[in-house]
Amino acid sequence: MNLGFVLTNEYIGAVSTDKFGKLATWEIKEDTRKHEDKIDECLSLVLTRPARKKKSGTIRRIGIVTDIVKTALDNPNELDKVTLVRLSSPEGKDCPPLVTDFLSNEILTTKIIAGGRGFDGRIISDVDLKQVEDAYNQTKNVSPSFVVSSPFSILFPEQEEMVRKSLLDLGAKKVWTTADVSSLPSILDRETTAILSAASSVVLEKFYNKIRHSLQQFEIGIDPYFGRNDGTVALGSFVKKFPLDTYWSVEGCSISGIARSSRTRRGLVAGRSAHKLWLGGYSDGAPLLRQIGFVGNMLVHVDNPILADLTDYDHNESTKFICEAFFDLVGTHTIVVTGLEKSKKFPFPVKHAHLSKVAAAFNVATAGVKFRASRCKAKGVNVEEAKKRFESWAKTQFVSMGGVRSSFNLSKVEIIPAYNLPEGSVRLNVIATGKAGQD
Amino acid sequence: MDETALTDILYGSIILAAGGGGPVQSGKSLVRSMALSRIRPKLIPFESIPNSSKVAVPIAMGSCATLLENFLDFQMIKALKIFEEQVGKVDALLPVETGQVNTLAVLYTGAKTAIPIIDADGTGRSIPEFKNTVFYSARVDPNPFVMYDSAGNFVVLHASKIDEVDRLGRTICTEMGGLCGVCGIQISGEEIKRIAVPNTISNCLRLGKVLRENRGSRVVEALVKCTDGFLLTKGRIAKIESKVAHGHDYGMMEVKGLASYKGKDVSIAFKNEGLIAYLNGKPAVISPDHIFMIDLLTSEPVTFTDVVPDLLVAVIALMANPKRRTKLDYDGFRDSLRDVGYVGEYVPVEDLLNGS
Repeated sequence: MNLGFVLTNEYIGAVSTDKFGKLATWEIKEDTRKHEDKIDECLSLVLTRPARKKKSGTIRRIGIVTDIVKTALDNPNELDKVTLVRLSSPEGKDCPPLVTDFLSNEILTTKIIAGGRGFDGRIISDVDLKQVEDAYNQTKNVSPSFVVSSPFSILFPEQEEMVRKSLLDLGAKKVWTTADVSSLPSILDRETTAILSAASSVVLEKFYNKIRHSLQQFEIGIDPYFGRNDGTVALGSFVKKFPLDTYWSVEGCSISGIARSSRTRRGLVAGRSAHKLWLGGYSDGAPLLRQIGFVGNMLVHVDNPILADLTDYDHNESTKFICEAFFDLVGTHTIVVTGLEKSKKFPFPVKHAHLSKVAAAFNVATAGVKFRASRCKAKGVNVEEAKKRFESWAKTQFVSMGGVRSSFNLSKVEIIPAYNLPEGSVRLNVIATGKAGQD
Repeated sequence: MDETALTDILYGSIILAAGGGGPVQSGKSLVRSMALSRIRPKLIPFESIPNSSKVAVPIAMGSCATLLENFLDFQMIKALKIFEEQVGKVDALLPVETGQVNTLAVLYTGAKTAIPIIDADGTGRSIPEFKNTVFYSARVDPNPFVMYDSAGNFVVLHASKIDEVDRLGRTICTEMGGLCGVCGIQISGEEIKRIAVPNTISNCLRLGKVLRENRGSRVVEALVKCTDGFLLTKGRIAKIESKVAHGHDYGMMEVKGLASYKGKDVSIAFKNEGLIAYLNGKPAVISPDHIFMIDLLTSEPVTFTDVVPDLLVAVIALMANPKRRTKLDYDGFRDSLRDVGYVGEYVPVEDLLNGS
């Protein structure tokens, strides 16, 4: 059997599935304690009963979906301190990163050092490794995590890579480069994405370690999967490097869970997270996604479900318009409600309300792995050669996310013009999908 | 002017940017820079500029690609200093256009140099070419036109006529790495009063405040009301096509009306900025009148840089300032409109919509 757990600010839930992947049992409980304080109780919802204990030897997979990263970024006291090493001088000394005041004052140290490329690859400045060493020495006792950014690094990543290597050689434990976290143009937004990833990684890592420890108490040694924003799953060891991938995971996995359980290709899901009433759509079982989203008022380059906030729903024309627009977007009038059983406010006929808040847990117990990435290439690069290397890298990443090697399916590889990048640049997109399972 | 006011100006300037105006992030960065360094720009009301004032026009010049990736900070200040070496001390600054990059870049330059900024601009919106400005319509002397890049290179351009500024300036800017700070157009307070579009910065402040206070389901109606604008449609972006040519982003975007707006389909042809919008295939908004778009899920004003298929947007049309609705002004837009396929005459948006 597979087990799935949902662990949010307001409630915990758990499901088990039979060997065919059908929902067997589920439990849900309101619980507003801190996330780490309720891990054991969440696991025990399906693991402490004698019947379950007996079957625990046949557990094939465990999935967890949580809003712990979202909670941490809303209340950022537990975040790691981060040093941003921006390779742009002489430019950019007066252009602060676009993060909130709290992060800017309490979490972040910024070092602007020589480096950077122009739109045509020209070098603005060479990297001075002495400056890198100075930046490291000045901040190593304050910040365990480093972010390296550089203009046009999505086309010319060499300087970021050189500084990452240098920082690791100097003793840095964790280094993110902006080209790592995003292939989209806009250095400031890539920086925000990398800074928030670096700052929140520790939260997800601690949570992951506590989950593993708690599972060991139940004599379960399985490496758990985590739900991601797009409704797929990946191993904890992978997502702690990209924690923002779990930021909207409760909503994303709820949408996917409803889609999977209702066995409909298209539909709308109305759900509730904290005090927000949201509406999302799905197509082919996956949430409708955007490549960018907001964390607070900070723009980040991470897939997020397209959600309409209906919290202030008052039957007015605008809200009705949003609902009808979603019908048009997904091409159906089917609405499935999760977590809103008692709500009388929703104006459209609904179905499949029974799955409730465990939709997300059901999803992580049964969902597959998806690897999706983009790389940008400057004019003059041998694109076909780059494409081959990219495909091979996609397979490695897919397996490291917890995908079954034999199920690896390269479902999309495309070369498209790169909008908002210099003329002649191209973007390589790859999507690989397959089953979750550890070889 | 606190950070909230500066942010309101930023959002108001995106609304008046006609879907262009450069990357929003560049404007946000300039706001943050002023907020963190606690420097504030000082505005001069349009009517109170002394006639004898010596005014300069700082410009952030660059393609969207470079503005998204490179940083704009000291280049405009350096250009201003060299401009002053050429013509003497400047009393005030004027934005060339209203948009998230150029409005904020001038506020930033003024705040850094303690030179006040006139509550006005040279277009009343964002524009793709210098010939769309009031300076071109009025044949103002653009010289000296100082361009300064991040490597410390600078050019003092003396164009033989104002028509040459755009062509030469773009070529030099490309060679400078695609981004430079500019300071040019020596102009008097008296001329400013005669030709500039008044109160554009205070208008941005007002629009940004309306947006901030009405985020959510009421935002579209609130903005239509306070701008005396026209709601063309609410719908989803069905198609967006664009290509980069000669340093401009050219494209066409189609919005398919939804729900009660079904059957109201809008297409917008853009060259960096939206230049003409068609409602069900008929011209509905012709420059210098302009449009803006609001993301219905986030209440954020969106530009052609941000749009993606399936984004839910409202498209709103705005009347240009009466000062910009002259034949001379329209002549400045003719070439730009021809580049996006329109060769007809200007008809005010209210006439087009009332006649449709």
